[in-house]
Amino acid sequence: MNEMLRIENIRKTFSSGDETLHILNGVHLSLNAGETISITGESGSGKSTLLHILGGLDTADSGSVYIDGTDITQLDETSLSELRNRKIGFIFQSHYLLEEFDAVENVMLPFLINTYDKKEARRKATELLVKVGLGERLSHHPSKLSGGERQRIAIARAFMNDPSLILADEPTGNLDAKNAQRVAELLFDLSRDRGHALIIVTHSLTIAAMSRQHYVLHGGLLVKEN
Amino acid sequence: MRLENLIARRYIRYSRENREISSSAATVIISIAVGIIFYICAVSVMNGYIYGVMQLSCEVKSFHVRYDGSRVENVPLTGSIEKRREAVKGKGYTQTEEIRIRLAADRDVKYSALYRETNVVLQYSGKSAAVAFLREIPEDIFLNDDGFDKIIKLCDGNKTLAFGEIMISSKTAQKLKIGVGDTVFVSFMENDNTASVRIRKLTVSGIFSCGLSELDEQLAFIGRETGRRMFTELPYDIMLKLYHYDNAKKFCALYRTKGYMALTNWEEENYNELSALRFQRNIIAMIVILVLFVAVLNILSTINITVFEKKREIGILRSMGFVPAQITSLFLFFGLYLAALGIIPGVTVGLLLSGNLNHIIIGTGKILSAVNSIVYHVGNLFFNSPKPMAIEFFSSDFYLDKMYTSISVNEILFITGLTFIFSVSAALIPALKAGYIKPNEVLKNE
Repeated sequence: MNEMLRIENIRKTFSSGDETLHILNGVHLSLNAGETISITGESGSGKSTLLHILGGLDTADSGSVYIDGTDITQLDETSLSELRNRKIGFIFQSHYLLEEFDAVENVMLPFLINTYDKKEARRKATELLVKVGLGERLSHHPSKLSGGERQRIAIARAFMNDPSLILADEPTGNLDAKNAQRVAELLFDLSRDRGHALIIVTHSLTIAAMSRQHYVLHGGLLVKEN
Repeated sequence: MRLENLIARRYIRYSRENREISSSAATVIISIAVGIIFYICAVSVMNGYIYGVMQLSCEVKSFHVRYDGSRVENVPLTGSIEKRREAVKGKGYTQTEEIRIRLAADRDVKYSALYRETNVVLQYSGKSAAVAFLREIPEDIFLNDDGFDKIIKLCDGNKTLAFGEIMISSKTAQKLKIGVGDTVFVSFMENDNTASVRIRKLTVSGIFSCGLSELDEQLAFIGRETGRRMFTELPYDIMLKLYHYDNAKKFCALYRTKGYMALTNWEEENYNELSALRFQRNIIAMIVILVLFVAVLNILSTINITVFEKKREIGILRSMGFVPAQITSLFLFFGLYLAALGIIPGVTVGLLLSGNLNHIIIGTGKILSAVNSIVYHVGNLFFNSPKPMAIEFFSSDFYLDKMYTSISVNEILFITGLTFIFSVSAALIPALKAGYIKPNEVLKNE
């Protein structure tokens, strides 16, 4: 299978006064296209930091991150932004939808950054929203939607540009158990159907169990769970 | 750029829903609008004032172009020796008329006439006297020079200048306490060398006002025939009205090269006055521009607040592929839209106000006078107080008869462009700051 993601010896430290925190101590990981993995770990163990480094939102102190064979640590800001737009879809704990835009417009945004074709963007966004069960909520603004619905819009937005890699940082963290399960199922189903690689950071072992591989971030290292 | 533009427009449209942003944005919009209204009113009043003075100068005081008849010798004349001799003395009607005919043949010239003027003393029944500037003009000038006819507004009598008749200005009439049909004695010295004073008796045919206080206090007109009987040696000058007064300078320059050195245009004649007025206008405009600049600076704090409120959205836009420059442009657009929202009502209200300034000033004066009067009457029930004077914003003693206003499209475009430049400058720092927001710092989980 195609290797979608490979990270080599990622290290990251944070300084807090005189103290230096070694958050990531040489993390290695490899992921093929269409694979799903989950990462769990204690709060503050560096899960989100790792995900941000994978998505090019943060930089590692050392190490390399290859996405589709490109070492993103060597890219300039413009190339990195372009890569994020085309190849990575982010889902966060909070939906971070733009309040000024309705559901379909929020989903259209990643497409419009790349190609300003409103008609095509609307068609694709509508299709995705129908898929996530929000076909009736296209023109609703985020403030008029429930937490679960907002997160489903955020999922649709992440899939809008057909990225190779979906990075989900505790996407169900703000939802109740029922909604969390529904959103997680939707996320895994969409990734599987579309053949996207998925890395999900979660505190929920139930959700972690839905992935093909489960890792625990402990002591700055990724440990595979059996 | 289109997506940044779209998002900025949405931020503007939905800013009302965010109390922090809306109050700050409202302050910016109102400040810019008020600044622009202030600019348009101030500049249009100053322009109008210059225009009013200029119009009076062009039509009555110094005309578009004037030919000084006392310098008639500079013109290459043709004709008899007698005519040339007369010309050298600078007194000849015929020679000056010849020059007038030549100048009038130019297609730029709309109206031309000979005139002459001198200082005189007007007396009425030995009781009152006034110094006047007496000008001899053609009797039919009111029929042929529409600009002159329009500016000379009749207060009483007729616009006739038959033999033995004089038209005097309203303030001279007030000073002499005379009206139409009364007889005035005109005393004058035509030649300093002879030092002889001549006196003529003339009947007032009309009382006029031209709006320029300086002229209203002094000017008097007599017809050609009356002038011929009164003056013998006073040289004739030529007044020229062109189709476009802007061409006066070019016209003079052209004819000076042909030997007509005695030509002067209205701008040269009123150079100091016009320069002073333009200087005043520019200083006022500069002060208002500074006020506007301070108003526009509010954009800086509004965008700072918006960036702070939207930092997570900035983070998510970055995660979706926005580069820092796009985030910066988004907030520059936001600043420009804020400016536009201030400029549009500012220009509209500014133009409406400046166009109706006379009514507004008179109306405000009346309202304040009424309030003043009510206060006086109520106060009088309890204590004796002197009756207040009527509040009159536009005094009848003012230099001009009304407030002229004028503003050009260029001036509107100038202030609009300048406001946009100020806005971009004010928005630049917070917009750049927004571009440098690190997405990993704002997208941390709660």
